[in-house]
This record gives sequence, structure tokens and C-alpha cells, in this order.
Amino acid sequence: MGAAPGQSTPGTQTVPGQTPQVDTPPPQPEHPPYVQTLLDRFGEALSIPKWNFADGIPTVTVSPEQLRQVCLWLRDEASPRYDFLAELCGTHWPAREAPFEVTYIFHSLERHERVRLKCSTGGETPALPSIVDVWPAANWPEREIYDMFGVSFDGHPDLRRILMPNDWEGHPLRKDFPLGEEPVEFYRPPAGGPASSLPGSELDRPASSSAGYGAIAPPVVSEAAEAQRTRE
Amino acid sequence: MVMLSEHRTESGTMILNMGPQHPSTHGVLRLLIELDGETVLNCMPDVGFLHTGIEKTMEARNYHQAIVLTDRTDYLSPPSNNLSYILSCEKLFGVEKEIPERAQIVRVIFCELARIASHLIWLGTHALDLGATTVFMYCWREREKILSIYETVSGVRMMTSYFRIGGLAADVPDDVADMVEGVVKDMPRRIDDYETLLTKNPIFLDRTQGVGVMSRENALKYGLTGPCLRGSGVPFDIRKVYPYSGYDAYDFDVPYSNEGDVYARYMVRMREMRESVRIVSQAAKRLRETKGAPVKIDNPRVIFPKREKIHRSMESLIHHFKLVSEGPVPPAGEAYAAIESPRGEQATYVFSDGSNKPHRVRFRAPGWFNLQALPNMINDGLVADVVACIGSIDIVLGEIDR
Amino acid sequence: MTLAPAPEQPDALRPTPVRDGGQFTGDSGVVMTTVNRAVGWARANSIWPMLFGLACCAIEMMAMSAVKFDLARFGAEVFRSSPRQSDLMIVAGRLSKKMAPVLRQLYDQMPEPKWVLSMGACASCSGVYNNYALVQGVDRIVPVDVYVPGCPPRPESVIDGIIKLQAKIENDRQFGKKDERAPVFAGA
Repeated sequence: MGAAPGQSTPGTQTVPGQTPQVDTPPPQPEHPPYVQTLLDRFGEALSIPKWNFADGIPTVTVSPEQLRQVCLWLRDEASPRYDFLAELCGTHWPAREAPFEVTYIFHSLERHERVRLKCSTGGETPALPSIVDVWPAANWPEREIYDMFGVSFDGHPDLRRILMPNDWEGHPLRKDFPLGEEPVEFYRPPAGGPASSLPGSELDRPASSSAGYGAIAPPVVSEAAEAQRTRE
Repeated sequence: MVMLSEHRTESGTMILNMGPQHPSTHGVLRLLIELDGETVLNCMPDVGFLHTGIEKTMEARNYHQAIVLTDRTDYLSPPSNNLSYILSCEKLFGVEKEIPERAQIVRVIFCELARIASHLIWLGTHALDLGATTVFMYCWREREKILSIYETVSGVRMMTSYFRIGGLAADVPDDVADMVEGVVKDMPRRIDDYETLLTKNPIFLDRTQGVGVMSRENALKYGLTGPCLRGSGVPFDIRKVYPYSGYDAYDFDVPYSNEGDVYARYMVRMREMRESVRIVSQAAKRLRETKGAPVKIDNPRVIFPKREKIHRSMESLIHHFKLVSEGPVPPAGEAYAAIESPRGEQATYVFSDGSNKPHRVRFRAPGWFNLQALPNMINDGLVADVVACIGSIDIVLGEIDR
Repeated sequence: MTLAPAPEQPDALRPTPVRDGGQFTGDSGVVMTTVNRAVGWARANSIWPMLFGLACCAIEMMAMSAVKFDLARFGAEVFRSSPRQSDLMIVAGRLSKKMAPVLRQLYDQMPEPKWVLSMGACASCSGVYNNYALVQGVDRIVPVDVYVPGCPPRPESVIDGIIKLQAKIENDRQFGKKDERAPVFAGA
């Protein structure tokens, strides 16, 4: 495994928690020749993760040190050139050694081929090199990953929160950040108001003489609607 | 203009704060614009005022429950969001090759009608921003016809949530083919009407031609997709490049233009509507031919057992209960599924850890990347061109902030 | 004592009674009412809503003002982009915590008397998004007069909400001051 020390490859670990489905992941397709050139060129820095990529996009794991070189090579020297950053997103796998995994998908308009890079980081202050100067499209996605996961990007020109308010504490998409659900409040009629005439409800509140709240009223049929109905 | 304050800097330029509550920012976008006189020196979008936490909420729902949350991201074309999420899940479950033909036809019809409806709203509001009020009213008239089709099929006007992992929720009613053909028959004439109002209108031309130019190189650098990229001379369309839901069986063209200005994006979208009508008319014909064909796969892992079987067999009842309460469980893995939404490459990236809930769902919103390019598009333009540029990107803050 | 039947009169000549309790006297065409009622009647039929579209519901709000549903039939179609010119805030869509201060500021900028219509499930109780990012109901930020449920509500539902609000405005007892009463629920 060619990853640098301290960096785990995302695919080699199973995720604890619920037992995975019994299905074995489908056999990985042989990686296409352009991935082979990438592997030949960078050798030790890259590896092929063992993980179920159900979409069939060829994937390589890259160490953070080599990330910028690989991106530059894909943009300028690879054949075909990868001239389009299609996707950049982060994921949090708390059980892994390097829990924050950032995924890049590059697209080649020449041959319409895609390649996916994965780069993981962890530790107290997770950080990755920024690729904004290689791909300006990476600007907002990197800010979003910083905002949502707390991964900082070295060399980013304007790294600050983008979706959450500036004074927000915590990183919402981390797994240890709670969803923040509030218990649903149900409406309770005020004391002294009309009480329900349903059986048993007088135990909760003093009974009132008015027929009441909670009772099902007969549908009100207006004269016009009635006339319409009889006409039909 | 609301929340619009001004502030003078030391160099004599003015910082103008536009939004987040502004009629021309199409939602709650905030722009900080630095002005020298009437010229825009710099522009800084500030997003996040509609951050809904959809991605986090989906992690707390099972795969079926999460479908309804996807509608509300790009709320101008809910079926597209459904479809990209569903395709991604189908890849995870390994059932993407089994989807019946009729389900795919209905999906195509829904998505193309959504494209027309979304472009109609874009056209109406874009023209309204530039001072043409009439187009707005005409566009809403046609959109209501499309919404009534949605309502007939799914019971809701906007948020259809009609696609399921493995097909559709149910077969479409019989009169839908007639309604779709009515729209198909009507639309080309209507699009002609809009073009009469705008395409050669001198005011509209002055406001759009040569404004907000995006070169091919910049468009690629900033990751633009959809009509914005095609307006800059790159005929890139996911429907042609990575066909999904049987798009390779339809005959249609990918319109593009080399100018890269607001007018080019306008022309691309107008021609796209005509192409969508072409696709829908072919699909409606196939919808008639496949009447009565199944709309769900026959795979007990994701599809509920038939109602009569639930009544007769205990195993089916348990199976149904498990699928409803726990939800379908995919193998661990990840899948990225991209479709061509009205705004560009709309993708959903689902990560599974082998449990019944997604480990992470990521929406690749086209507007998220397109809006980034706004400063590049309007720098050195006039302040009045800002609204033209925003309109031509066709942003939907729901998908940008998610 | 029995009243003699009124003489036959063509409908067009009958004076139009002011809705809800206005008194008209005989055939002379003179209407007698109180200032409260007259002001309430005028206010109720010339609501100027503020364009406050947040999310999906804003699209249905636009549909409500467009051709098929035509809010102008109810005298509430003059959508204003400025809070200082409007008296009804239709909160159309989900309100994030980042947007909440803006909403309150806009509400404070609206002149009295002012009303708030909470449109849709997200504005009323945050709907399907019970999470960290959203304010769980705009009534925590501003007082709400009418709740319209739905996700998004049909335009007819919102129109029903506006009609209910009109009835509420018309029955406003205190001249020049907003009546503090329980909110009403519309549509569904």
C-alpha cells in the first residue's frame, strides 16, 4: 500500500456499526489505461482503494503531499487532459484513522472520461492542500468542506465559513454534531376554554357546558354546493 | 430596495449591499458590490441564507424516506432531484439495469416537462428583471398546464416525489398521455410567442448582447455546466455523454452558442425548450405503446410485495413491514449519479456504510458552481447588468444553500 | 307586528351593504357605519403584501399572483419589494438561522398596522426539516396572524388565508392599532 505514514486508505477498512449486507461488492473492473499511466507516473503516492464504487468511475487514493502534483498533471500533462472539475465533496468516517475523506472527480471533455481522486486527513487540525489555483471551481466547495467538516485547506485565498453564520460553533456535517431536532410541540387548548366531549377527556380538564373542542362537526354544505350537486 | 445600504471606501469607491432580500436576486442571495460610479469593480456573493441542512437530515432518514427531502433542493424542477437521487440509490442497490421501459419513459417525460417549466419561470423572471412584464404572465399560463399533469399523476402540484428506487410509485393514469400531447402540441406556438416578444426586441438586445461575457476557458475553469457552459461554446450535455433513463433512444440536439453573453444563454435555453418538446413528443408516443407494462422492477429487496399477497401470506406481510419500518438496505459503498437538470450537471453522491440510512448524501448542485463565476462574469460591467447576469445564470438558492 | 313587504325594486338599484354589520338606511343610498368599520373595510381590501420569497413557497406565491389564480380579484396583488410600503409579510418558505435576523429587521421596518402570514409547513413549524439549520417556526421571530399549511400550499390555500386575514382586519376593533388576538388557520 503506497499511502504515506499516518494516512489510511479509505477502502481498506470496514465501517463499524450495523453489519453490512451480505452481498459481496461487485468485482472491480480492470482500471482503464489512463489510470494505469497515472499509477505509473506517481507510483508510490497512489493506490487503488478496495471499496464498492457502484458508479464505475475509476478511483485512486492519493496522499495529501502529492495531491497538487497529481491535479496539475491531470490538468496539463495527462492524455486526455482533464479540463473540468466535476465534483469536490467531503465525507466523515469517524471510525477511520484519517476520518475526513475528500473526493475529487475530474472530467475530460476530449474523451468524456472521468477519474476520481480520494484524499484523507485527520488529526487535531485536519488540513489538506488547496487546489484553488489549479481549479478556481474548487473555491466554494473547499470553503464548504471547511464550514461543514472543519478541514482547512492550506493556500486557500479566502477560507471562511460560507453556509453557516460566521459566529457558528461546530461543523454540522461531522458525525458527532447532533442533528439538532427539537421535540414537536402539540397544541393544547388553554384551561377554561371549551373542553372536548370525547369520552375520557373530562379526566384532564374540568368539564365545560359547551359542546366542543375535538368533537367532529358535521360538514357544512353550502346551498350553492348542494344545488351544484343536485344539478349533476 | 430592501437591505440596500451604501458605504464609501477611502479610495472613493462605493460598497453596495444588495440583498439578501431583493426582488432581482431570485431568492435570498446577498451581493457585496464595489462600485466606481456605475461600473462594477468587484462583486462578492454571500450565500447560505437558505441553508436548510438537507444533507444532514437525509442521514437521519432511511433510503425511502429521504426521497421527499430531495424535492426541496432545486424547487423549480423537483423531478430532476428525485431522479438523480434515485439513480444513485439504484446504482448502490445494483438494480440500475433492471428498470422497466415504461418507468424510464415516465421519468423522461417528467424531467423534460420539468425542464420546460423551469425554463418558463427563468424566462418570466429574467424578462421581468429586464423590464418586460408581459412575458411573465404568459409563462405562468403555460406552466400551470405542466403542473396540472404533475397533479394528475402524483397528487401534488410541485413536489412530486413520484419516482421510487426500482421504478415509479404507481402507473400513470390513462389520460396523462392526452394531457402530455396537449402540451406538446401547444408549446412550439407559445415559444414562438415569447420569441416574438423578446428575441428581436431592441431594449432586450441592448440589455443582453455583449453583457456578462464568459469565455470558454473561464467557463471550464469555474466548473460551469448546463446552459451557462453551452452558451460559452461547449456542447456538453450529460444526456448525450452519459445517457441515463434511456435518453439514448430519443432523437434530440444539444443547442449551444459561441458568444458566451447573456443573450447566448437566453438563446440556448429557448432552443432547449424546443428540444425538450421534441423529446416529450417521442416519449408520449412510447407511453401509449407501452400501456399496461410494469413500472416497477420485480426485486423484493427494494419493492413492496403486492397488496393481495400481503393479505394472504404471512411472509409477505413481514416483508412489507420490514421494508416500511426499516427500509431497504444497500451494500456498503458509494455511487455518484449525474443527470442534466435545467441548470446543468445535477448529481447526487450517496455514501453507504451498509446500514439502512445513508452515511452521507451530497448534492452536486449546478448552481453552486455556476454562481461562483458571477464575479468573473460581471466585473467591469454596469450595475444594471448585475441583475441581467444573475438572471442568466438561473440560480435557485434552494440547491445552492441546500 | 308584521312589516309590510318591501316594494319590488331592480337589484341594481339596491344599495350595497357594507360587509359584516354596516347599516344602510332605506333607499336613499346613504351608508351609516363607524370609523372603525370603514377603516377596517378599506384596509382589508387593499392589502399590500411584501415580496418575501424564501424558498419553494415563493414559487407558489408567484403563481398565486399570476394569471390562473389572480390575486388581484381580492385586492391584494400590489406586491412591494420594500417593507416600508407594505403591510402584509408573507413568509414564503423555510427560515434559516442565518436569515432570521434579516426577517426581524424587515418586520421592524414595516409601518403599523402590519400582519404576518406564515405560508407553508416550513415557515409554520419548519416542516420536514427538524434540524440545526432552521428556525422551528417563524412565530418565534415575529407574531403570526394566519398560518397556511401545505408543502407548498396550493395557491387557493393561500388565497383562503388572505381572505381569512381580511375578515380579521375588518373586525379590528381598535382604530390605528393592531388587534391582539389568536392566529387563524387557513386552507389545507
